[in-house]
Amino acid sequence: MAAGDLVLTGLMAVLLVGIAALLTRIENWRSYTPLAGGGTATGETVVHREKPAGIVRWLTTVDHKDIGLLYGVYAVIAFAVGGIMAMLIRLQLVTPGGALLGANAYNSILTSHGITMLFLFGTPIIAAFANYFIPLLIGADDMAFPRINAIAFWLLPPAALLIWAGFFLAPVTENMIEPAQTAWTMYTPLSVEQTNPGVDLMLLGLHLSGVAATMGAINFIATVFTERAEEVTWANLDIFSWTILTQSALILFAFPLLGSAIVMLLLDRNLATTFFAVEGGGPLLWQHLFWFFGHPEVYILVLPPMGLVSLILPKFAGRKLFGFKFVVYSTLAIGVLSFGVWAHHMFSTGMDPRLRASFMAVSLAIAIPSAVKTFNWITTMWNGRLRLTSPMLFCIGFISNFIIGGVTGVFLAAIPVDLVLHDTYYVVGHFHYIVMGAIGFAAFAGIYYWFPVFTGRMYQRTLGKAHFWLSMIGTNVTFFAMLALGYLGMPRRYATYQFDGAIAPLAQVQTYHLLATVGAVLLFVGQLIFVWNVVQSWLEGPKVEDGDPWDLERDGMLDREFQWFDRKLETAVTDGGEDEEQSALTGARSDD
Amino acid sequence: MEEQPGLSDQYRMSSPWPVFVALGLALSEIGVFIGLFPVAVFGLILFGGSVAGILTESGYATRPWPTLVGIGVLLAVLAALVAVLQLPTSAFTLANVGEGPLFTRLVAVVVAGAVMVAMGGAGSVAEQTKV
Amino acid sequence: MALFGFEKDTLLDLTVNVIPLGIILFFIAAFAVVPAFGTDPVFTGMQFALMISMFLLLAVLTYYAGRAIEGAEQEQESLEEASAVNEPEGEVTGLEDGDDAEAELDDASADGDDE
Ligand code: HEM
Ligand SMILES: [Cu+2]
Repeated sequence: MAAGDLVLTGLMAVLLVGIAALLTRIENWRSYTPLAGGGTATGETVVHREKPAGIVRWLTTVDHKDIGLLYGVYAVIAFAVGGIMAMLIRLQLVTPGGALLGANAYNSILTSHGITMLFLFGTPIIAAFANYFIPLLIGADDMAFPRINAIAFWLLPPAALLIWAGFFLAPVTENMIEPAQTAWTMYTPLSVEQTNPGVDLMLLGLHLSGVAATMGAINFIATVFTERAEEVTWANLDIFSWTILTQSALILFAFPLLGSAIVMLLLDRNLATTFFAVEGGGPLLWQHLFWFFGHPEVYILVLPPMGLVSLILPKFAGRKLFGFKFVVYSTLAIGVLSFGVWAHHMFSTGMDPRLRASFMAVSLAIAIPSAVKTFNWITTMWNGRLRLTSPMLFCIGFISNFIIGGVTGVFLAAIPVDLVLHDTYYVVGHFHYIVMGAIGFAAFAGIYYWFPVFTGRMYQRTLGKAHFWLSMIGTNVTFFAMLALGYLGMPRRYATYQFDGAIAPLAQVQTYHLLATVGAVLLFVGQLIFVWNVVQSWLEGPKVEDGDPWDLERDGMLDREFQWFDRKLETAVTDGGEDEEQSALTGARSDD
Repeated sequence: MEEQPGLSDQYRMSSPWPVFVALGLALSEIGVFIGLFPVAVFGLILFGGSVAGILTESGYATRPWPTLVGIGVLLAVLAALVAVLQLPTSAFTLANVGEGPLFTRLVAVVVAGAVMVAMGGAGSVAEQTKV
Repeated sequence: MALFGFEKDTLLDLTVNVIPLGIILFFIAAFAVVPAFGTDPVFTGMQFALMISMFLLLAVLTYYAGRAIEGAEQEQESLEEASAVNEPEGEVTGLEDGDDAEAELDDASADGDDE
């Protein structure tokens, strides 16, 4: 042990000295002037360009567009990792005895899949769009706090390493440190009793990602409130900014609570406190705290995608969003009500029936604003001049999947139905229709819609359509089969299902599992095409020359971000094609 | 001062500090919660130092040293407070470092705080005597 | 009609949140009239506290959001009246006036069936 400590000390010392040396080399911190904003009035500091070159640029950037891209790349990598985990889960379940994994490995992968997708893909991909486009859409120079923005992003890579730490450390520590097997909900007492330090590492990773999300949220709220251009008012603020504003408010109330609950859990695990012990707060306390965060979290994940669809869908329907204000007010309604429904995840815990009934009441009420949005999207397309581009296809797919996901959610919110279906694959089907079928689809719609802005190039349309159809069919095959499995009584989170035919019809269960796996393979192939399309088009796609690649001008729907893109293309041409953009403000000064 | 513009003077959209603030926070959390003494100490120092740096860079502070001292004092006082409130006085022994799970962690925080105070003090003294 | 001091148009927009408010109200009334599981000071209290607090929070947020949006709209209108150029801007778009002019021509046909 002492030797280990010594090595660790040495390592840390070297790290610290290295960092200090690096900082003194690249940064002259004696020259800081008392003025904010860096090198403003001092004659001797020469501002050549906005950013250094190469990898240093990406490590030191505080530009919201760069940070948006970093978030995007990060999220896509996490999506790939989570997706491979999902494939392992689905392949495992083709046979009742389990095809590839032992029970422990299955549990580890199931746990990491959920956490990876929600915290390392879902939240960051939304932050990617928000960082890139909120300042452009509201006419701001940058985020209100660019440095905090960068800090929030850089907390995420360590968070991911910690969450996945068990997988890396198990082989080198002879399984002393294993991946967590708590499921993403980390229910006590299980999560206290698993002594595996991998659980602590995962909890720390989650905590860091929560800190990051909270910092980001504060930044977005400040940006939308204080950095709007003069002509952007509450009356004409775009819908995506509204959803990000609401989402940030939800994060502000939900994530700090998760952080505190995680700290309590860590203390229970390591320092023998009794927050969640029977003699202390009791195991149900964890469920209440977790879901008080957890339900808002699902809306944290779905509101901005709803905003993306509300923004993109009208562009290809040739009509303004029908009932824009309805969508705004129902976004706000969802924001508030999502804090009053958490116990619908706990209907079967034996809580007081009167309380349970009131959670059902609010859960049914929250379905209305979601339904309102759905009708607004459908009406927007009604009699419109539809153009079935890839982003539009994904928007339409979003609506279709969101309807199934939403309706199954309303069923689950009814206590008698939930008591039958709770903890079956029906629940898994419900939320995957939303997290994959809706949130994932909106992310794809956003990536395709803004691909020209991100990269200056166009993606390959045929591949985009193939990606859509494989995803759409794959999603519906996989997750509809899961709904059916739920009706057949298949419980969730099991590595095997060799049960007695008297309990459930085993043959049908296996068939549906097989179907779900076939769907997952379709999905997987679709995502391979997506990654290929993005990478290849980014490198070699045709350069976009028109600032309005979607021909939005025709319907008077060219938003600020494309106007900015247009200006950027024009200045790039006259300046001789320097690839850093020159914002109107700095352009004059740095052109010296 | 000899002039050799640093990164964040040279490039308006760059700052070297955010990565290290994040890394410092991550290491501190791992160190303190998992109970790895050296990681906790160095993580906290890195975190405190980077916070002092970024505040100076963005103009919220003129020099980094007072911030560093402030963070050090804050951490040390907080940890000492927790120790006094949560532990019996009999636990406060040198032999207990590395033994009592809570005590060891708190000592790590106090040590990190003390080092930051020392660094901050040394830094400002050195600067005043040089210029 | 000037309910809560809102204009008719705004009121119409706000109805969207009146529906969930109505549903909550319905359940409050239903549970008050038929206490199917008996009453208990603590749990019945919490039951109603949850529903009533959600009702109030939603009502208050809707009110202030309506205020903010209506206020911004009126300001914009008076601005537009002041500057004689009475060009209605798209809700989401902020097209610059300059390059708008030529687009106006082919816009007309597409805009026609809009609202
Ligand atoms: C239309 C509104 C919705 C209603 C009424 C609703 C209702 C429910 C209910 C009652 C459950 C608990 C089922 C059970 O465990 O027995 C549930 C689970 C879940 N819902 Fe929804 N839902 C809605 C929308 C959403 C959205 C938008 C998302 C995601 C963004 C979502 C994600 C989830 C997740 C992840 C779970 C499973 C949690 C777990 O046990 O692991 N739901 N939903
Ligand atoms: Cu929920």
